[in-house]
Amino acid sequence: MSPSMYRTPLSEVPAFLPLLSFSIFSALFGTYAYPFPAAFIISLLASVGWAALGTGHPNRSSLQVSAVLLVLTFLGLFYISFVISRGDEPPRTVHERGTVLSARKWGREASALVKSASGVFVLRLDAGSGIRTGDVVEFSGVSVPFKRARASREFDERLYWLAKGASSAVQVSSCKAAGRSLGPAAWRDSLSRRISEVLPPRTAGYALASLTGERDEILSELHRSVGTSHILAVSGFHVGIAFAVCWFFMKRFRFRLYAISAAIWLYVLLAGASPSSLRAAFMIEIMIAGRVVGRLGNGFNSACAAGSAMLLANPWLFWDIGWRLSMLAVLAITALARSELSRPVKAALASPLAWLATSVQAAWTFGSVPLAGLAANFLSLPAFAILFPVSWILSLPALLGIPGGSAASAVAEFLFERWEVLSLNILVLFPWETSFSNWLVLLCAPALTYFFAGASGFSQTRAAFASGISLAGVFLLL
Amino acid sequence: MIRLEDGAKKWALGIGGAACLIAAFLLVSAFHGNFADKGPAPVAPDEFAEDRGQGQASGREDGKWVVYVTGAVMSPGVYEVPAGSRVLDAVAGAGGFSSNADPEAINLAERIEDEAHIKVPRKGEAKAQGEASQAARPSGVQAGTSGAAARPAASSKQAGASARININRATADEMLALPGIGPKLSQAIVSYREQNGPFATPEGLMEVRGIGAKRFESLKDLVSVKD
Repeated sequence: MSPSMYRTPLSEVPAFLPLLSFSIFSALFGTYAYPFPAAFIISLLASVGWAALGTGHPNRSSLQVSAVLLVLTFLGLFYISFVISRGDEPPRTVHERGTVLSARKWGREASALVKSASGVFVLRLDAGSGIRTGDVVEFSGVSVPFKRARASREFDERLYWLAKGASSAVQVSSCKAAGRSLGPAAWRDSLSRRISEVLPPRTAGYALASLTGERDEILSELHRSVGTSHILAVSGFHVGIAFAVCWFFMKRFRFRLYAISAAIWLYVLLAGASPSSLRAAFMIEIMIAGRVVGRLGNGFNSACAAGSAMLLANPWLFWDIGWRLSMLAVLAITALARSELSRPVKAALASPLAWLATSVQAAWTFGSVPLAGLAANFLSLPAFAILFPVSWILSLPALLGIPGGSAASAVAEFLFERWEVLSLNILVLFPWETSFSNWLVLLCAPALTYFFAGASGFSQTRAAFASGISLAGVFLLL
Repeated sequence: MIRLEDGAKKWALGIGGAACLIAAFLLVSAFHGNFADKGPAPVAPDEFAEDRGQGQASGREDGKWVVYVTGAVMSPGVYEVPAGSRVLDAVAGAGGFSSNADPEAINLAERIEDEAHIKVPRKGEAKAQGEASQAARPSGVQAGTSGAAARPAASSKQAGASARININRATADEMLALPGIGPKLSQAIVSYREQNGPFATPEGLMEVRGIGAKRFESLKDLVSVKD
């Protein structure tokens, strides 16, 4: 009897089951308007089926874990349905005081996400309002529901803001700054201004992206065309680099795990607390907690647990493209990490697998996915794992106003310029794009199912069987 | 009671699990398309959001009313709203209030009717004219008026439809009206023009660092190289 016979989805990755149920339920109930009982039963059938198919050697503890998971999933599904079915808040007059969590251009106007005592609002402002991230503002106006999408691929303003925690928009009749807050939003704004003032353009763009979560529009276009947009969105990759940097500097420190944990949350808050960075921070917390209690980490299960917890905290995240792509990529990579392949093979497969995992969703949302991403990601992940920390260190003297600091930041600029040339050359070599197609879905769904099944403790035969069911099911639906 | 051996349990679980998964797929397939597809796409990341925020009503469906929304809204025009809607729904359909709207001068809760004309007053407009309440009240549809004709340049996409922006003359501020063009890119276009001379064709925009084929695709119908 091989040890793998004792590995089951319930013992290996119990958190995958609620995540699977929550995701299927959200898609059916939220997107496709299935009645609650139908969505509920289908999502539970999928999870129970997955657990049963993957359990090669049932035992008493499997039953206990199943019971606990089933209860948790039940409660979670009821909660998600409650949040999703809650209607928009009726219009009302608001007179509030709050902190601007983020302020940005919105079409020809501006919008500000403001947290006040009675909730989070989106203020619609004139482009020249001068309201900045980190300001404390006093505003009054009428709260109105967000605009909904009319067609299936149209941008849905309501979902966009609900995923960010806002409850309604406010048509502002008056809004004035009443000071600056002392929280992370104000630090982010100050850092952003300092970066823009003293660093050369590429270094500033990458520093803004990695440290404050702001997108430089020129770099965004470049990375989008090469298929490496994720480099500019603070995600697990960036949090992982921050973790590695903290680990390097604190490895001799007695309470390093606690210090690293605090530093990671500080970084995530400073960088705008995007869903993907929060997910990564949750994963690191779970890993650290595992070390504290003497249990080895399981990246795949941690990713599932973080994803499930985030969906329970804010079910609207399911419709956030950043959250979806981040979850798919991290599940693929952590599933690969749990496979029995050799390290060099895993390293070689990580980038193509992450591309494969996210390609269907990305192609559906953006219309197409550049094939250059396959090659560019192969290089970009290791390159930026070095470029980011190196550029942070090289930018520090200029940011602190130390004489000669600009010379150090010029070195970072040179390195980023070389990367830009290289990525444009990759684009010349691979100019093709793949658009959304049924073939792409038929390729990706069984492949991902196989990897996820492997990571969940399925035997190879059962993983192949699950993959076959997935292929047949997708074929049926398409 | 029948007691299953380990091997039999293993098989029973496997077959039961597969049956559950197949049943789930069959149920999804059976219900597919039976319910009103709310159809929200996953939310696009930040850089796309600002350009996609303003949509238009598409084809007419049964049980829908057609209303004409003008004044201080993001996208004035003719819109379909569900029967029984209120002013609020029509305003939301037109992209919401624009920044110069006076939200307290219009009764958002008022019921509307098919063929209504809703005009949202601008700040100070209602007071100046002393007719805020009338402005909010639905009036009969105006024959021969189309949403597209009434649309002002407030919406960046619609601005392009009626008057293209001349990229050889426009200032950096003026180019901010183009979708996907922020302060950095508009400045980059101006700098490129100053260094390399006027653009011979709109396609020349793709020479500017930061404008690729995809972004140009969304700009090509909105820009020109001469007046």
